[in-house]
Amino acid sequence: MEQNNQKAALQVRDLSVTFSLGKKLFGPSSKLHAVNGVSLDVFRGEFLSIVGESGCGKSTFAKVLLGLQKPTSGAIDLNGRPLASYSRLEIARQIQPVFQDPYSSLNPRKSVAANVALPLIVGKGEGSADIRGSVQKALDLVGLSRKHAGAYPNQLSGGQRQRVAIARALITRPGILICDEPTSALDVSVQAQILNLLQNLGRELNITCIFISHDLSVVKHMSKRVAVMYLGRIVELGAAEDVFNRPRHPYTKMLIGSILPADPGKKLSIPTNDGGFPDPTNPPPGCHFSPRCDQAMEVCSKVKPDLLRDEAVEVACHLYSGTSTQRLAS
Amino acid sequence: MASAPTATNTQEMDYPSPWQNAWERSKTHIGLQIGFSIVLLAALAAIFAPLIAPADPYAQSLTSRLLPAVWQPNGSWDHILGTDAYGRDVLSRLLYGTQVTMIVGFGAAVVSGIVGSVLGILGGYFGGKVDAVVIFLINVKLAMPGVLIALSLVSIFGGSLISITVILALLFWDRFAVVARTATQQVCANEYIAAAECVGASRTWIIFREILPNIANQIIIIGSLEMAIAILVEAALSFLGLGIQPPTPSWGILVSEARAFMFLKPHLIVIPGMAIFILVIGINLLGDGIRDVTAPQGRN
Amino acid sequence: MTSSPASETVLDVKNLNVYIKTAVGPLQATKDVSFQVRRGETLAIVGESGCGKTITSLALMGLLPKAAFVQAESCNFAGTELQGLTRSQLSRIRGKSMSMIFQDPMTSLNPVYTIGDQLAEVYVKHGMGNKRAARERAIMLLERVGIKNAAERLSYYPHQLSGGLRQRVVIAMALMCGPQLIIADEPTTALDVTVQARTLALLGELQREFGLALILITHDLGIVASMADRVAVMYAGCVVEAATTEELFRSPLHPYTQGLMRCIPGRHKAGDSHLHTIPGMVPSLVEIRPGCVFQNRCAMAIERCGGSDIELRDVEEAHSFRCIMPQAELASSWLHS
Repeated sequence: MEQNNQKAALQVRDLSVTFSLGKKLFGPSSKLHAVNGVSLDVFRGEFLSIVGESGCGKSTFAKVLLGLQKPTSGAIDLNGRPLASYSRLEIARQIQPVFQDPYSSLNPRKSVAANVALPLIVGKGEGSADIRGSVQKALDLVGLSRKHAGAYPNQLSGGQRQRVAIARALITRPGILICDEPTSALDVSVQAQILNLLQNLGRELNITCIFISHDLSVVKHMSKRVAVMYLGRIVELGAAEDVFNRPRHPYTKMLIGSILPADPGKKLSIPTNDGGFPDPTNPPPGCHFSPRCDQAMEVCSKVKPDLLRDEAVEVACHLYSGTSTQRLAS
Repeated sequence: MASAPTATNTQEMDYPSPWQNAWERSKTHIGLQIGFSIVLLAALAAIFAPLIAPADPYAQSLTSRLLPAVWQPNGSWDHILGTDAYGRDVLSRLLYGTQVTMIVGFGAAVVSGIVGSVLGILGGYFGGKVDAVVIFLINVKLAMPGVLIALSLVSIFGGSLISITVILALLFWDRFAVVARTATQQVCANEYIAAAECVGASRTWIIFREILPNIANQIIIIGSLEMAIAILVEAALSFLGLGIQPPTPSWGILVSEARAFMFLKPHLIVIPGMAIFILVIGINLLGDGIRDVTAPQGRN
Repeated sequence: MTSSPASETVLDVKNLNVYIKTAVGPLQATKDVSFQVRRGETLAIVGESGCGKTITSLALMGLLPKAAFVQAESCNFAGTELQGLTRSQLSRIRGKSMSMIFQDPMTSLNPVYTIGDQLAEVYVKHGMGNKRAARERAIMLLERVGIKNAAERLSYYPHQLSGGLRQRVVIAMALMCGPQLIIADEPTTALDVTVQARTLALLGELQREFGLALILITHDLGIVASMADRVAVMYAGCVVEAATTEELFRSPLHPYTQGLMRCIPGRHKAGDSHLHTIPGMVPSLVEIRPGCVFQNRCAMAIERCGGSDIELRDVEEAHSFRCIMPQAELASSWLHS
């Protein structure tokens, strides 16, 4: 594999996050497996997308990587060392987030410069002389002018705010950027500006980017590699080209079929089997997708499929487990 | 690295700072101006009472009892607002009373504001067990008959300026706690708190630098309301004889002392009553005004 | 599209202007917006945030905030002139023959009443029948929008349903009184992608079945392409281009429409990894200059664009746009992009 000679920036092994919901007086308390046994390598400098619908665990996964959420079990290695062995500030220097809502990700009581300088101030102490210069460089990087440094978030548009948030994330030059739906709150024309910016920055600064989104057309455009998540598990993982051109998992097919093409010639294709999104606190046994799946077999509702290699991609589906020969997931 | 396309080829305007904005807005905010003038006037009166008071507020004079005010028949400029039943100058007592009123009102609001806000922020930020304790304390406070307890505390600890201030502060912290807790929870739901956590900011940093500036506005509003209420309660306690002890001039005591002559000399009770009324309104106008001019604009 | 007689026009809006009163004087939120919707037809109003599409729909429903006022040449709904109606007259039409579907089903249903109560309320309030009739119609419609065990679900509260099902309830509620026109404002923006496709398909089916006129307000050109018969593109309060869907996607003329279409990921040639962008941002109402509303972001802008207001020009029977450039030049700029 070509990826073997690349170094993994992040190695995630069998990661699970479980929330226990509402302690009931009688009966067992219900548990939500937000992330359920996820294993994934993120290679240095790559642009990896994680797609899925709400409730699939992609945001919880991002929170774990950012250190905002403790995993219930599993291991994460950052540059070959367990993430837990890093101090808070060390992680901060290597992994930074860009959040979804630029209206809530900046402190409204601080100027743009103060918002952007936050990682430096917290990391080094306020006295540092080069803070001004660094803020200026970071603003240049994201295409904002000097004038914006003194502005306050509410004086800026959504797109400008998202640029400020990116500048803040980049000011310490982290190796890894985690973007959680960075454009879903923005207009189409502004979205294009931000996507181009992220792509440029990723290339120029050689940043590893984990891009979390529900928008498949954005993901298809942006990423080299895609992981599709459903109810806490990765169901398909592979190069974006392979996943989009020849989706294997029925859920991936369903997602791709739901893209509305901006082309009036093509009519809406409607997913047929309507089981609806299952209750995440009580997911169906075996393959979580089996009740909604057209091609479900008997085994699907009994045995959990493993993520196995099928030609170019890895897929967790019983339809492909027969054809595959070797196990590569772990 | 000039790769990034600029976001701003059309918008080259200046961005005024929030202080400039607040200043601009306060220029047209009449409520704020009125409130500010009233409070400023009261504060100046309190500070400079010894200089501007025409007479000693404690000096009794049996020969000049219940003299009329200057606009009444036989009034004189020696005693502009007349004298009370002990022959003391009412204007001087009113000016010195401003000291007591302002100290008690402001002191009670600040002390209760600090206690309540600390509890509320801790509960809202940490949640879980800390929050449970805070909620329990608030509930206990709400379940107690506040004024009765204040009355009994005053009768135990006496009516000195400090004990009245502290007792009033104990009466009022709960509203600060409730508001600070809710506001903190709302602020914590914002992504900039998560962003601060992601850069490794300490809890102290997050509380003082991220949360506090964003809830300060609400706390100031509650502070102005509570200050006004504290002034009223202090007056009521003094009126009942359980507040500041005579002969110290507080506005409540002035009202209380004038009660016996309510029908003979109504101005003795109306003047301190009006003073309380105007100051309370002024404080409320000031609080509302501060909120109006410092609130960041909405999304657009 | 058949050349339909005027009687089939359900809504005919001519030169709708909405102003918002502010401290510095009235701001114009929409400018001379005109469109028609016929029976059984879907009109998409597409644009970015702040373009005035939501304000337009609120103006039609009479739901504008107090600070706003409307001036229009005419606003004819099924033979009734809406302008000059009192609030109570308007509320008799609203929810009955003209109903609205909002973006977020969580906030458009009242959490403290059951679904059955909320469905019945609309029906009874508009004098369509008694509670029993309302219940029967509610069950019928819930089943029609694909909710199983409809009779049982009537006693559910909104939070007991998923987002997709809630939006179906909202759709059923919009249909309770047999409306002629439904205005759907971003009806699927809050929903997941797989749910969105199904909800849109349902909306399309119901529209054909009930012969509704549908105004679909959206920012998503994918939704426009798969749902609409005709499209009006709005920018900064103006309709900058209007055409049939096929015509608009085949040859968009206005530079803004062209820019919007080039922004969509996946539309450009393979190997070209950069998305087209429209520089700058949507102007706020205070910043709008005389002349073309798009001039400061337009790559083709010339001095004349800043002159007088641009008139809507017709190029074909159902295609009009608001730009001073010659049509041929605009069309070739699209082909060579």
